[in-house]
Amino acid sequence: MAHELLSDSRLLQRAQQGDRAALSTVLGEQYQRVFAVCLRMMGSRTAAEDQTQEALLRIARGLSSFEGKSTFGTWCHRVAATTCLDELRRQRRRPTTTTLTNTDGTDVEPIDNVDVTAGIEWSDVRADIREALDAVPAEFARAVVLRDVLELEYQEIADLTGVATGTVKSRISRGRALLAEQLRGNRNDDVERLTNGDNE
Amino acid sequence: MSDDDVNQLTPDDGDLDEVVVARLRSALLNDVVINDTERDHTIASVLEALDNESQAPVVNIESQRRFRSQRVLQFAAAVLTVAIGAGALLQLRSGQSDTAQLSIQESSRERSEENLQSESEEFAFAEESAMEESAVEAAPEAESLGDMALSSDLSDTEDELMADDMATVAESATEEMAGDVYELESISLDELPNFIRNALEQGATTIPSAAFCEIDNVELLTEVILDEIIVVVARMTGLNKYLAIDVATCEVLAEIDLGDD
Repeated sequence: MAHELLSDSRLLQRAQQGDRAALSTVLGEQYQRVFAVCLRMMGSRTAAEDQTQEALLRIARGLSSFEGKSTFGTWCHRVAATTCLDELRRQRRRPTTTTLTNTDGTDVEPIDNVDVTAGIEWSDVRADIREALDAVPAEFARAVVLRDVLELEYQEIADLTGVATGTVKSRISRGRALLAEQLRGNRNDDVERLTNGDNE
Repeated sequence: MSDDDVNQLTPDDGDLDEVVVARLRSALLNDVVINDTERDHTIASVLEALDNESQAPVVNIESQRRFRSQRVLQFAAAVLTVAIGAGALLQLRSGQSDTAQLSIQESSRERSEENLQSESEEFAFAEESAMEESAVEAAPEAESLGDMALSSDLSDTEDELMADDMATVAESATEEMAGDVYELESISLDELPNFIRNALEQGATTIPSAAFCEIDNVELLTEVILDEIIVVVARMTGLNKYLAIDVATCEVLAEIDLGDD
């Protein structure tokens, strides 16, 4: 492909000017990162695929407004995260007036009461990291991932997880320490000690 | 620092947080396996969607901003239709009146062709009049704010990367419009049912394109300040139930069932 010979900046410039082949290449280059962000935000590959498409569409639509103040990859990362945030908010805000019933007769919990980030799985993650994440209480692991990996703001994390920003910061701090301990050597006694203060 | 270097580190090396974060990012973002077929399909879908958008007929925005001129001079009321989100229309009214007067926007599907012609002329008159009204002199500015809301979620992203999301942009635009140019009626939650009834009695009708906040199965009705928060009142499609939705967060603040009356 001729575009392979072009520098990234030149390729981006051509995409911004309406070159569809260049746009296709640019989107292809960002797909992995955008999909990864969506996968971590949404928790499943199916949902991630949907949001990846939406995010790439937003990127394509907004390409002309990108001025290079940040790297293009960073910009795409943020667009992807925002796209998923919008979807998660939409899911949480959707009015639910119908009571659904499980097969065992119990009521299905309304979406408003569901922590939409609770379903994240690490099954595809490298073993050492997965073990560390699994060993840390889920709310701490999620807080660290949402902040440090997905680069969400504290307030965004608070909105998403339904806790105060102070609690978010506390969880991130403890989560980092717990993960560090786990990566150092699975010291479960430290996990217990460090999680005993999350009472905000 | 390359991924390989990162993976050789332990938290004892260098800054604790930095190393943990680097290892997490490497594992959770860089190592994600993608399906090439799915990638190609997704990109093709995106390009197709862009093509479809570029071929779509240009929407006559003015035709969507029709409003009746009745009471315009009396109350200096005007309706601004501000595009927020993908094609969503946000209707605001100016507020020199102290009653629940509402400007009326008819649903286009309710109009006959004859009405369309007459109302088009009426709109032209009303808009011309509005240009002379100081209360609506800022209409282009407000519309511009709406345009900003459309595009600035991406540009803000670039500017700060920690910038507010689309909802915050919409909130900012709405607050500015409400604070500087428009005065919405301020009511309490208890007054909301009567407010809705008054709105309906005065002819407020639903707007079909209420994609605002992307809440399914609702139709935007009107807007009001509820307990100091700007909310849109939306009707649940096919029901006599109404939702008060915070325009800043899209949170449903109240659900009102007017029953059969």
